[in-house]
Amino acid sequence: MNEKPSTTSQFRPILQVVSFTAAGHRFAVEAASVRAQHSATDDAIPAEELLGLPDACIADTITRRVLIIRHATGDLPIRVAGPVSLSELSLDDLHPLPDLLAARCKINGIRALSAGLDGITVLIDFCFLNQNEA
Amino acid sequence: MSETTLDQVLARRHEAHQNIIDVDEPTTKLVIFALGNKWFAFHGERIREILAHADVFFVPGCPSSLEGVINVRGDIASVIRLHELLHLPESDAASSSILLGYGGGISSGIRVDRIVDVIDVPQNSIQPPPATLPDHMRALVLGVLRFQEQPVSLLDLDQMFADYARGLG
Repeated sequence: MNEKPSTTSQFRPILQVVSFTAAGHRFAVEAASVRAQHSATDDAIPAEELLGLPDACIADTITRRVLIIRHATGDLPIRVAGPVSLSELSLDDLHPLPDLLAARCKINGIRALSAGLDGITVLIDFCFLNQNEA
Repeated sequence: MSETTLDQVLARRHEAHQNIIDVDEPTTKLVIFALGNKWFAFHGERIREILAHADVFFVPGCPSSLEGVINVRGDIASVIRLHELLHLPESDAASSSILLGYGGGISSGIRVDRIVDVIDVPQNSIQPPPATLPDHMRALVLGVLRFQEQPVSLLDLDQMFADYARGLG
């Protein structure tokens, strides 16, 4: 029996992101902006410092990783806390910042929020941070 | 005995009906709420929804008056506290609610300690703001009224959101 091709699209738009922890909060960056990931080194800038957040007390058991971010000024090594994972976000779950939050949030690299079952993930674009911070 | 015809009765009735003056006063819907021991109100058309329970997710980098965001059936809305903007002491009311408000092209949740009532009031029961109003309230209060023997300040949500976005509160 010949199967008819499906008339409905199965395409589900997604965005690939690399998620990590900084100052105890879950953040994510577009996977396309991450060139590499490797073990933590001292020359990498802590994500908390870039984001202007207090450096949370992190237990030694938490893995520290370095993400190499593509940046206008060249590669930017950023030290983040784990778990670091590659995941897919449904575009339906991605939201621009609400107006008042966009106006008052001090982290100018926040681009969007993702609402999932386990809470909110903050989508960051390190290229939007102030040049002097980066 | 004078005879009255049906036509005359109906004519009188018609005349009397025409003389009735509509004394219904225009009314406006208000959402009255409490912040601490003070009562405030927003115009009802500015409030889209009242949420009794909602999980608020903290977003880093925001002032303490911006509590976080809520997920309202798949949409994300900010939640702000008005205490600082209105110069009121912080309260930790256990039964607080969130009003989903819209004003000046901005929408946001607003944390209130308690919903008092949603009522229709005659527009003329709203008096102009008194001259004794503190400076920080002058631009935010559209008028005042009394409800259940309590003074209620009717707040301008457009102005409030605009001021908040400008960094006040």
